[in-house]
Amino acid sequence: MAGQLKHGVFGNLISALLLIATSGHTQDMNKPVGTEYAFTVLTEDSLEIRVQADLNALQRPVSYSSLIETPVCDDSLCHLVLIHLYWDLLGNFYRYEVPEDRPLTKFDHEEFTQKDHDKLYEILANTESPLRDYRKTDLIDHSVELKSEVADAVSGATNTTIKDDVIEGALYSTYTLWHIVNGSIAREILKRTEASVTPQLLSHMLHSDSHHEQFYALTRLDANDMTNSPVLLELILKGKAYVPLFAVQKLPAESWNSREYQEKLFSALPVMSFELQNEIINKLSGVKLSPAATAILKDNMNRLTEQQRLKITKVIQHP
Amino acid sequence: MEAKRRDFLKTLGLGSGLFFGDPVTLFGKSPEEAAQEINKEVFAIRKYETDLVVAGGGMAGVCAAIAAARNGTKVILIQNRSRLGGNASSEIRMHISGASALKQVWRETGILEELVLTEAVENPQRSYEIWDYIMYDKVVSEANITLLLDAIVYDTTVANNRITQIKALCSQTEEIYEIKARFYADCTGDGTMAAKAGAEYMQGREAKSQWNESMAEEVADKKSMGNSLLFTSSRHDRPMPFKAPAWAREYTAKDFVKRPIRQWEYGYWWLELGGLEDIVKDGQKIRHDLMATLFGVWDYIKNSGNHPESANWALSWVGLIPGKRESRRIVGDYIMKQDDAIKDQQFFDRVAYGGWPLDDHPPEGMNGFGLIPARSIPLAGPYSIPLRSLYSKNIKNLWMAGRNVSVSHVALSTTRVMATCALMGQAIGTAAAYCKQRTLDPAGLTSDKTALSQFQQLLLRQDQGILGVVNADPDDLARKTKVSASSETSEGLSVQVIDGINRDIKDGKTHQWRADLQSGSQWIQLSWDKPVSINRIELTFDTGLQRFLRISPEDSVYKNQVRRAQPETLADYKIEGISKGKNTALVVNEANYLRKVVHDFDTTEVEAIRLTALKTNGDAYARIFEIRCYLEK
Repeated sequence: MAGQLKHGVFGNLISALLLIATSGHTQDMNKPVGTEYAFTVLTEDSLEIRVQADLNALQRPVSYSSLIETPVCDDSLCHLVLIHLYWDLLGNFYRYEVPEDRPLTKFDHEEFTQKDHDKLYEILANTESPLRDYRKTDLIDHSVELKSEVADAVSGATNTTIKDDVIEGALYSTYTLWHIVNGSIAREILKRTEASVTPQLLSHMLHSDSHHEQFYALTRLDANDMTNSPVLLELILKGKAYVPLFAVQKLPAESWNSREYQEKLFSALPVMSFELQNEIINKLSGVKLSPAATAILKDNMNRLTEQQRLKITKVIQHP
Repeated sequence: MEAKRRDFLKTLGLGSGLFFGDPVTLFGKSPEEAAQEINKEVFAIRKYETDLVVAGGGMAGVCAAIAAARNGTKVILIQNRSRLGGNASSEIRMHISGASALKQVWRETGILEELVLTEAVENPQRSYEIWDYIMYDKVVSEANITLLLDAIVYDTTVANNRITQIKALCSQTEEIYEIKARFYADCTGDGTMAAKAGAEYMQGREAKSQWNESMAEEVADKKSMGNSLLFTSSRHDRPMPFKAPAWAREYTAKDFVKRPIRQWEYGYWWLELGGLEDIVKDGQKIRHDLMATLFGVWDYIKNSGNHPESANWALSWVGLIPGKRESRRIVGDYIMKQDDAIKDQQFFDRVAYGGWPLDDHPPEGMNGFGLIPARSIPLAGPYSIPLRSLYSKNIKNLWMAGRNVSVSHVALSTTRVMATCALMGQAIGTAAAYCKQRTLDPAGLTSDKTALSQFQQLLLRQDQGILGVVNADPDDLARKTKVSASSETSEGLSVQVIDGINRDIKDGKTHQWRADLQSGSQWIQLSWDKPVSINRIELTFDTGLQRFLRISPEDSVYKNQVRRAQPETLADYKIEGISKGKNTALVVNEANYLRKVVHDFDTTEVEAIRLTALKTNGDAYARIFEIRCYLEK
């Protein structure tokens, strides 16, 4: 079945999400090579959904997925939507696929545009969406519908407070999918993962493509565990979004004293974000700097602010 | 020897008069005997009897006390601080939020509006202590209010499910107040008086399943939203170094990923903690944790290097009283829930409204690593608050207003803000007065449909923020008049001053008379078929309710505010009575800035009244929402 699914539409999006290629722990360990049945949930609309775990070569789950056919109904009509959904180990939605011959449609069977797909991805990934707290019956502002003399009585007017949180013309599809994606399936996945947290799993998460998983592991890591230092260094240097800011705080004291680490960090200093530069500089008090690393630091001084230079000079003079 | 002893007594301040006649008695006794003679009756007992005790002088308590007093009720207002205003006072400095968050037309009216309009005029310097004083002035100017500051209610006597007496203690004056009243209003925020009296209450967060609330928890718990401590800082003309105390917490950039630092002249949103602890009983610890957090965050701003633009900034004020968001919620005859906020239920006993989003904060607060600090669900419009949520279910003479009313945890996330609390205060203060006159209990008022609708009319007449109630006051003689005007705009027809609606309600109509003053003064006239006697005229003016108007330490909050008399408001006007072709001056008013103005004068027989609009506070148009006329006994 999966073979019939269309991957192209989301190729760019997915590659944007692939965060880093890490060393040591091979990327292959994140690659699903098989699947197994994980669990079944019953949604509020009494839809039975089977969820499978996607397994790597070691038979450990690396993600979860489900091919779902769900009815989407408005006031008068229902149609079936077929979609393949994927979650990470924490129950965060991270992609979907739809078959070429069963595209997602809007009002009057108009097909989703690329822009609609991008927006749908954004909406489904937002666990805090206001859609969480609206009932299906509150999606339409009936007071507007009643007053309107021109509007189609069936379509009504989308409740203004959620207008930005749905795809125009696909109100009920967005709503139905958001609740499948972020409902009991997501909670069940998180529950299963939390029940099996080990240092190995945390280490695996650090190597994962999902910044949610990286973040989850970083907040639970033992700061004195040297075994993760290489991946932490990679996350500091190449991690996306706020991941480096967490990784920099988890790098063990011993690694800060390593010449290799110092050189790698100081060489990259000029291309780092201003905040990350400061986080690194603030970590240097009490660190024994190697002469080679000190030289790199000095070389890069002219690309830092005066305040940063002052702090570094202090460290170099009074280690 | 005697001389020496006399000197000694002098230094003690005892060596004079009668006492000196028998000094030996003091020195001849054992310490135990001497101690027995010292007057240990340190606390004086003061007994009071009154109509209404209001416990708590925050925005809810202040508005409750003023409303009750203005309706002829004797009130004792007990506040445990030296200042009124609670979370809004200079001691905590939270700005008063409310339905202005809808960004529509729904700024709250009534006593709160009177307070904030006055503050905008009298406090252009934005001094927080002056704001305290404005509340103080409004309260002490009411002859019916006895204000007991620095006093805390610590005991209640209950008989037959009624509070019969409370005791309060003032440490500053060493007084104990024993107060008997017909009604008691718990505006303490924590519901302290109600809990002490055995009123049923809720605490913690309910499960989704309890009331079918999607924002509620999967499983009920005892957690709450946390407390917040605020600070202010100001910019200087030279670098201002800062060294954090040893007990300050340490923060790094990762801690601000989900809580970005956007400004620091007004605290940091949010220094919030305590939601995982007992928010009341662990208060001493929570306060210190917040202090450690506050100085830790300031240390980060000043010394991390990530905010170099803070170099010339220094702390100018640091709060010591955490502002509370949530503690006890007293159970009333109705418990408001999530749905009651999402859609206006038009409760039959609606007496106030809210409009802040459903804005729940995770109990972890600043300890919630990587959690967003709040989840805010905007509302489409304002929602009504029923009177049944503002009195206790099991203590028959106990009202509540403020955050301690009968709402679910989820509903609290919107009702908790102070403008909403202030409206509740005006509602119960007025209700207490009405019930006293009618010898009704709170529950009796909601079950008597005639009395209830008369009470809602009273609220509306006194400019309370209340939804969907139209002037149907049989005593309002203006309703039977024919209206004419020297001029009117197409959207501001003169007849709208008696259309029963005293504000913009977002229905496409202005509900006000509007006349262009650029060509000179304009008049509006109300004429009766046959002469009537009147001695009171009540006016409702436009004060720009579509804007936000509040004191705040945050500069950006003032962006769209007008910090003086609101331009739309009619400043100078006169009213004449017309009888047998002769005009008699009834009212002359200058420099008005209030929304609701009441003019009393000697009873006069008139065939018509004519109001001449002379000058606004800046707007080109004279605007009047409503004119009412009465013959008061």
